[in-house]
Amino acid sequence: MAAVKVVSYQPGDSALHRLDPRTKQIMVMVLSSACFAGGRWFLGMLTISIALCAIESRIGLIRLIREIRYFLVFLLFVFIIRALTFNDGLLPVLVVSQVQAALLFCWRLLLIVLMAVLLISTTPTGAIRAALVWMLRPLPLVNERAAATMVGLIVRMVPLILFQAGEISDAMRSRCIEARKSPLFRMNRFTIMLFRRAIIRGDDLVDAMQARCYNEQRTMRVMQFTKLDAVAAGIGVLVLATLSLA
Amino acid sequence: MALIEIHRLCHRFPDGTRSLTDVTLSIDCGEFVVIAGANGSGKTTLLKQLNGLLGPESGTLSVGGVSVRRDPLAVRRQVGMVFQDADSQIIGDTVYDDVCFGPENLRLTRTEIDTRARRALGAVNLDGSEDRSPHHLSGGEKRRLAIAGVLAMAPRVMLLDEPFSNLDYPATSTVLEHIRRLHEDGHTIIVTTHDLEKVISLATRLVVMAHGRVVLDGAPETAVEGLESHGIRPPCSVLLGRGIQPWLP
Amino acid sequence: MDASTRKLRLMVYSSIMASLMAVGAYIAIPVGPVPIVLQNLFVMLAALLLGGRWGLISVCVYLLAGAVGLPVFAGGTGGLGKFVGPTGGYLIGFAIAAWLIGTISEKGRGNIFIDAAAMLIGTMVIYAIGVCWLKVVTDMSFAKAFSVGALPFLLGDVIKIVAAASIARALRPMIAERLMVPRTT
Ligand SMILES: Nc1ncnc2c1ncn2[C@@H]1O[C@H](COP(=O)(O)OP(=O)(O)O)[C@@H](O)[C@H]1O
Ligand SMILES: [Mg+2]
Repeated sequence: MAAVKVVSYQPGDSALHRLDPRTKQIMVMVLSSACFAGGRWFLGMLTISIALCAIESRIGLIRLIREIRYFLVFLLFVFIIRALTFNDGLLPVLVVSQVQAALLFCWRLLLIVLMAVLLISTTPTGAIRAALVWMLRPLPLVNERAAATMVGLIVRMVPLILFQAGEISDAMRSRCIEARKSPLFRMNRFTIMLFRRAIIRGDDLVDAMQARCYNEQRTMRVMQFTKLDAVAAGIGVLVLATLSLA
Repeated sequence: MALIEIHRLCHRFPDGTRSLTDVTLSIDCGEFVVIAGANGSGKTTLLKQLNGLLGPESGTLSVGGVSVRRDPLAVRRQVGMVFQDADSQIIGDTVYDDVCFGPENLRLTRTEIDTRARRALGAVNLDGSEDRSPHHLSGGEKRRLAIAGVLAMAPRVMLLDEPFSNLDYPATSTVLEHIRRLHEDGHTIIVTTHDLEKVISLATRLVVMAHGRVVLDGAPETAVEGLESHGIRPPCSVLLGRGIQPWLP
Repeated sequence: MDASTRKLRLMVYSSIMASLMAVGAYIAIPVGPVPIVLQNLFVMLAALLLGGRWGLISVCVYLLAGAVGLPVFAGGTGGLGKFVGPTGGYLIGFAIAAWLIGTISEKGRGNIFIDAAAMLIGTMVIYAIGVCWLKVVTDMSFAKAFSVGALPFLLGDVIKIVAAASIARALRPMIAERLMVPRTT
């Protein structure tokens, strides 16, 4: 169903873990954007780099793939849709160029997701939040601390809401909601229950945050660029340079 | 003047439900108060009032001379609350981050935060679990994490809402032992429960609530006598005529 | 309720709406041949429930989470690249639509027809921006872009607008009670 369902921070002491969150985040942002413009050379280099990072961070290739198993199903689906051409709307035919294009597209999506998984599994939310504050500070009209706190809350809430969504649809099925054929009715019921529970969760969260003196101006993590960040940035630039190769 | 002064406190939820009526209590420094009452008797509401999470409809409430309504933030620094549902209290995504949340909000320096977080985790025997995800902890560990998160803010008063719900025997004994130690260390403790058995032997005072009112208030030894008429099961040892006995062997 | 509590509550609710948008990008309700994706329904609901300002903030926080690489977009992707990709226009459209829908429906004070009209306008804005962007990025003709990027979804969207109007009616009292807003309707 979802890639994030299983992705969470995996503690460790690898270079990837020790990298400054700002470096990681900027690299993920730049490289995922570049993916859409990148050709084979770039994607190949990026794939190798991601694989090395996975091994280096002790996340491991197998675990990395397992974390996104649901996404792989989705990817297969996307591939089939894109690769098939319907000739005169009757029979599906395979056109080599189209299959290649579909492969390239799926490859890009895969790399973007893998980078996100690596980022989340090696960076605690606190660090992501601190990096976000740093990046948003120059922007006018943005309360960077509130924004960063809210992004942190999303990380906390999404798995919970996904879980609740599963529970609700199970509960609806066990109460024979299928018998009510109207899809409108089903969608209404599902959505109302999902929102209700999420809002109640939110109330608990407000209480928990307030009980511990929530304060926008709270102490942030100390972040420091090191030599490691320079090395990582250098590698990033090298990978980006392959964009110019056909 | 007592540490906590509650005078004629009433509370009503926006939907009209009355959950507290005319509650008057004063609690001294160093007391260990057990608030017992059936489900829906208003225990949680009272604790949330003490923490400024709910505002009173009428009446007054002060901690250390500071009115909760006037300055809830100052009161929350002195009064830590451990919620009934340990899951919803988790804010950070590692054990360490979660414990740091409170001290960060107090705007302490990073070194001070680290010291306090380490000490708090050590106090509940969670050192070594710093990098684990709170959601993967066991029920007992979650409750201890919640206690640590509050402890790191160094409050004078600890409110624990049904701290033994959903815990198995070993987890209950550990949590009980930690609560006993908190009291020994000089914290004022207020524990709510609908099941007196486990905690009554630690208490210095027993308050019984029913339908939003305080119906009984006194030393545990004497107060247990009147329990049954308020829908609470007296501890076994009392039923057997042996007075209050520690729950742990 | 004091101002800081109110603000924290709105922040948490906005984050929840943003999380729901992320969840809405993954889950689809199997209805007939084409599954209904719930994401744009959730965007409209965020606006109806929280109003223009906080509806807009919800969408912006959602987009921000995606921009920094969190996998919140359709299919579990994230990254700035999504904004310049073929579907980037819809993402920007969500933000503008949320603001429009929220602002108009606040003026309408819970009138169900005004809500529906607001959502109709919002949906048109989403497709206007989405389809134009699709056309620019993929170099399709306008008709092709429309038939790929809007036409197949329109019927579903009408259903969603009807649904959202009644769902918002059911949920508004809950939000209003918590934010101490005098009740409308
Ligand atoms: N959010 C709420 N809205 C309306 N009524 C509530 C709410 N929370 C609790 N109540 C009601 O207030 C009363 C006291 O609840 P509570 O303080 O939780 O009791 P206890 O913790 O002793 O079980 C109950 O009757 C309960 O139904
Ligand atoms: Mg309770």
